[in-house]
Amino acid sequence: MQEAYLTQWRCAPFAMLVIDQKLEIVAANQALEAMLQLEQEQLNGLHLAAIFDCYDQVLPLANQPIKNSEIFGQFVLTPTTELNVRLTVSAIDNGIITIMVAIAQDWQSDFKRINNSLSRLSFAVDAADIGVWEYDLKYGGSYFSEKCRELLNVSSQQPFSWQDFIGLVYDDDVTILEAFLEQHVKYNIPLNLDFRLQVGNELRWFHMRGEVVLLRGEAQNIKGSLTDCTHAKQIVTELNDAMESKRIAMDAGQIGTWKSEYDQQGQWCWSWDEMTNNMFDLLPQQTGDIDKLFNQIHPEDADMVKLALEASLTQGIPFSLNYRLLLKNDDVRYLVCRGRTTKNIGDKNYRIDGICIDQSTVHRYQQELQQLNSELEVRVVKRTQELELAKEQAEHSSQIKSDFLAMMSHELRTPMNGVIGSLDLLATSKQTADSMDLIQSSMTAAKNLVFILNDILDINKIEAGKLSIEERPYCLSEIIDNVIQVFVPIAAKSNLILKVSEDPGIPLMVKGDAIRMRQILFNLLGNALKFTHSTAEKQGVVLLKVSLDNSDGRNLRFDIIDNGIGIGAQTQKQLFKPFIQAELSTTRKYGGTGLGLAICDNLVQLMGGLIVLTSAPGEGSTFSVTVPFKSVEEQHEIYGDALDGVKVALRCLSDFGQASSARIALSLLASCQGITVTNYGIGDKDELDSDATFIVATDLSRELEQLNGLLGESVAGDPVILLVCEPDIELARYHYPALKILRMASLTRIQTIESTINMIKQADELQLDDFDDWDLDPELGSEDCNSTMLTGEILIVEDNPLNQKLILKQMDNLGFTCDLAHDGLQGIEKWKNNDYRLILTDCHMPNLDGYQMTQKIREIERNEQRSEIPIIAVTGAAMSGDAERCYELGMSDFVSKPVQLADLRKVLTRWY
Amino acid sequence: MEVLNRNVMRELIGDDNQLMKKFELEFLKQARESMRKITGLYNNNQVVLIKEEAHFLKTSAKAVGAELTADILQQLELIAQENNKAQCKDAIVQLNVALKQVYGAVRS
Amino acid sequence: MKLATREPKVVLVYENVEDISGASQIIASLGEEYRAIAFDNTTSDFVIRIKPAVLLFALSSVDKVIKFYTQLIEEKQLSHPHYTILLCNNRDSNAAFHCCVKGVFDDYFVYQPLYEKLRLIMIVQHGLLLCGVKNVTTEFSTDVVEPIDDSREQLIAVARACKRQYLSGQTPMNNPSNGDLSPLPNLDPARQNSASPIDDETAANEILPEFSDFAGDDDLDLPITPHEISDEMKGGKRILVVEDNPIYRDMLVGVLKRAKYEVDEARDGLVALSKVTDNEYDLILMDLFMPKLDGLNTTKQLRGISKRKDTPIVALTGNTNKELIRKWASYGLKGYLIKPSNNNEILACVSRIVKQKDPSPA
Repeated sequence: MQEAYLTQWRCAPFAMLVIDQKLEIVAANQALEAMLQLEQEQLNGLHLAAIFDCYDQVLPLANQPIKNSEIFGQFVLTPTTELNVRLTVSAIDNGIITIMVAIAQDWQSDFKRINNSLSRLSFAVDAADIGVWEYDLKYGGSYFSEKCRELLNVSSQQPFSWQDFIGLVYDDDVTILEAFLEQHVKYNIPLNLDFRLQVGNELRWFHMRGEVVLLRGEAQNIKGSLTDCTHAKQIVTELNDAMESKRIAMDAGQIGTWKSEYDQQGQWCWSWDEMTNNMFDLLPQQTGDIDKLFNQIHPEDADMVKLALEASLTQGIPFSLNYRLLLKNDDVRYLVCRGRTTKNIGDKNYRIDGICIDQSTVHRYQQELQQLNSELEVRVVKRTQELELAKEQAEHSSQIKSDFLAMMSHELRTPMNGVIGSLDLLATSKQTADSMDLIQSSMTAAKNLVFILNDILDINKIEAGKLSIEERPYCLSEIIDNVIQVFVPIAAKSNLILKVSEDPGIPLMVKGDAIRMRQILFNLLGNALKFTHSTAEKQGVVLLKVSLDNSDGRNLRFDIIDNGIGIGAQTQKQLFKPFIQAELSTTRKYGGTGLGLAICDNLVQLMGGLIVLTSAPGEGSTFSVTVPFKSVEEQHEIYGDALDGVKVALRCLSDFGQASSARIALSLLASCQGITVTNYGIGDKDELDSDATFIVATDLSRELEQLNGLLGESVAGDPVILLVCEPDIELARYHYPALKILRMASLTRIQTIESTINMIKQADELQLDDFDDWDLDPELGSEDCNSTMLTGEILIVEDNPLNQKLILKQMDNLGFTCDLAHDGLQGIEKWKNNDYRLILTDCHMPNLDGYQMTQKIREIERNEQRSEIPIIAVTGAAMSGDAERCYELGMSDFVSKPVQLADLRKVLTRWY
Repeated sequence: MEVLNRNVMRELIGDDNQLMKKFELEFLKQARESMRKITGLYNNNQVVLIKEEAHFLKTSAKAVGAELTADILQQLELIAQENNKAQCKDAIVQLNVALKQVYGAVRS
Repeated sequence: MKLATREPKVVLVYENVEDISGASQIIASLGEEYRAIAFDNTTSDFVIRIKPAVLLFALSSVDKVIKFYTQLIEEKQLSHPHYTILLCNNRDSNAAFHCCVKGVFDDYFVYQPLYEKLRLIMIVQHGLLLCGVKNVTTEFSTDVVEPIDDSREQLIAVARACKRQYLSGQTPMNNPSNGDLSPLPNLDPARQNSASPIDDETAANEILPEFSDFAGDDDLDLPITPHEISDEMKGGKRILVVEDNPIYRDMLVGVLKRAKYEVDEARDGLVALSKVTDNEYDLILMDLFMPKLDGLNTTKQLRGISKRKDTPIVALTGNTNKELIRKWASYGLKGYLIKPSNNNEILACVSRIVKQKDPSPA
């Protein structure tokens, strides 16, 4: 400030001061000094508000001073006198405010002050959404503030009386309100209540407060406030609900809660609910006493809990522990305890909240369960051991039985072979018809017994898993022919028709197990024939159909179809199990061991195939066997070019025979290269100029004349074969005794081919009497086989006396004189001392058996550089392994028991 | 020539009827097998091999006095050597008949 | 390799096992007891103890072998009969030759490289035989020795049979000495020496005059002078009947046995040869036509066995084929019989011939 201005200002007639932004006086003029009786120096630095007691008004000055604004204040002049002043802002200059001070009338300052206060109050009330009301008790008038109206959704213009107000009150709450009001007025009970009002469409909660105003002790009116507390009410209600829910839940779950807070003294303050308290078995007054709580913890777990708790409190690790309580009476409780810490703004754990659950019962159940479990396990182990033992014992018994069975069967077979051999020999000598019959029957019976024994051995082998299926090339058609030829006479005897149908598409050679295949077919056909009969009404028929499976040609299919007695459903289920026949009565009536089908089933399965049975009582049966078809890489022509360039003629004596002759044609064409087959019609030229001729007769009695015409002057030895139906066989034989006659129905492929070949050979061949019927056995007396005069050329090594006799007889029959040795040792001795051309030895003998003897002989031969003498083994059963073994040990060949003349002859022709 | 000249054997081994019978039967057995073999060879078109078989049987035929048989066998030997199948057939058939006769003679 | 046996007859002493693996396998196939041992200070003890018949050496140098072998002999350790074979490589073969030719070792064999495995077998075999080892193998498996075809096999069989004398340990002789033979009345003494190749033509010519007695006569038996030989004389006279038909053979045997001769029989030539080798017979009765080895060839072989070439042979024949008989006769027949003949004739012939052997009948 400039000096001059300053002097002028100091001398001004008006009292003025200057304050800075801090509202502290920086200058005061003489006039002010005089007013206030103070020197400027005393005033400088003093706060305006302090001097003039106007704290409540100076705020605007600090913030936004306005020119000409007024403040009313008071100055204490003397202890007993006060000055009322009016401060007016006269200039503002960069925060520096010049104020004029004038003496004010009391009422001016008062008024202003009051005004200020009032407006502040109103502002506050408004801001707080507080509605103000007043009710005149004497005259019933009422006042509702603007805010009040707003809250009640009543417009400012609308006339609104106290009754209107009461009308808005919710019906249920009206009574309460009026009661309160009455109480308040009468007894001065504070008016402080919540009730509901209808505001617009809603029902809202309001909080009313009021104070009655007395005049000379009489209640004049009530004034009060009204606020909308709907929101708060809702929150509270919800909160209450939640709390209630939680409490109930906790209660139901027996969950106790606890918490601890870090207070300002640095202590953790603990508190928990009643549930927790009870859980810890504490007295009500002990709630919050953490030490007492710790006392209840099981001594063994206490440390653990302490550590965990500390960790949680200090590091904030969530508390998760299951521990025990040890209460009085040694009562143990199992607790599950969980807790979470919360951090404050300072990132310090300041509180922890948690729950605890008494899971003693659960624990107890767990324990019991575990115990039960272990008990159970022990029992199971024991039981398993017992079962194992029992199983072993059972297996052992079973094994013993099987072994016994096998041994018995072996033992039984040996004498049986002797019987069969003897009968075979007997059959070659001259017998009466009756004797022959008896011999045949005995033979059949003996052979049957051997079959049964073989079956038993087989099933035994199968069960022991010792049966293996071969895979060697063999001629399937030959096997079929084999089996059929066995059954043709049997079928004829029982008046049954045995039919065969072979698919010409099947190659002659296939790969597999010939013996087992034969066994299966034999069994099934045997059964079919056994259980089929011819009656007056029905001709019994058994058909064997061999085909390639339609679907993919990967399977061979054998259907054995009969129109016999059939098999019931129940029985069908049991049929393939061993030792079960259809019914007991069946066994008695039809015989059999019941093993056949079981063995078949097993064999088929081992081949990778399937047997399916379709049958019903009285409707015959069909057994369908499907086995995988294995072809042989090189289909060597079994018959070579035996039929190359051969011309075959087929003649049917009637149209009915066409189908049959077609079959013959197909068979031949499919199996033989270079063959030509011509079908001659009924009326065609009658010269038989082909290399071989088949004539098919379907009803011979009618076709006799025609046949005669055809055959005419042909002689025995001409290549003609006549095919007839079963009933015509006798007739045919009668009329044409020299002609070869075959059954049409059971004509197999092989039969067709071989008879054709035979027909070709026939022209050339010599068919002479083979003197089979010569009786060359000397009368008893010269039975001495060890005659001193003759030394044998053949050495027989055999220990069994019956077999010795047998084979010597057989050899004698064939024209050989033989020497005898009782075992391998004697065999070697004799061989050393004599010069034999051949040795025929049994395999199983005491001291030194056939195998060992052979080995020894071969060794000596090697050492002495002798040539090998042919050694033929006589084996028990022709098992494939046996053959190999024989050859390995140095044997030259073998025959299998029962040894029949034909076998001996064959082997001797080869080696002798 | 006789079907069965018993003198031959008598002069060879002496007058032992039992022994003679034995040899006769032995011979028939041998002959039976030989017959089979020869027929077989014939049917298999192995005519030349018949010679050996015939020669073999001839020895014993002579020894037991089956002179006729021996004679046929001699012829068969020569025919076989020449591989004459047709003649062979005849000879074999004759042999067959001759042996039957021997059998008859032995059994009587 | 074959399992080591306790008493090996063949021992191979080696220095490097790799060197001898091939040779060792070959030797093992002989089937004799065989051991291969490494050369160290236990070797001499082993050899002494075992006394093998055949000793093979496969050391790193020939000199080493000579030294070792000398040492063994000096110490009198190898006093038993043994056969030494030196195995060497190609370069050393000269040295080896010197050793053998001067009598230090019995033989040598170049085993590095090993070309001829069969040769090795042969040498070892030879050694075994010379040392008198019995039961030496002649059969070998086909992976060691290739088989030969049947005709050759037969040829060999025949030759072998005639060379049987090898086994008796005699030194091999290819020319039988001209032994003295009692002159046969009707046959050329010159013909007795059957080992030398015979000229069939000359034979036929030469004997023709002498055979005039037999020619064209069915009843061609040698003059029957039934010299009765006493039973004592007969006792001990051994006859071999060779005939394939068992019936006839039995008859003959019967005839002879009844006349108190000791009789053996054979059904074919090969069996006959084997019997003749093992036994001495005073007479052989033999059929002409037999399977395997016929009479003619058997006779040839028989004559080849020097110790048996005196054995008289009488032919049995059903044929009256003079040519054949003549041919046969040239190999030395004392006579022949026409089948079946009869008791008297047979015995007469037999006794005559048998008696001839004894210069002074009792």
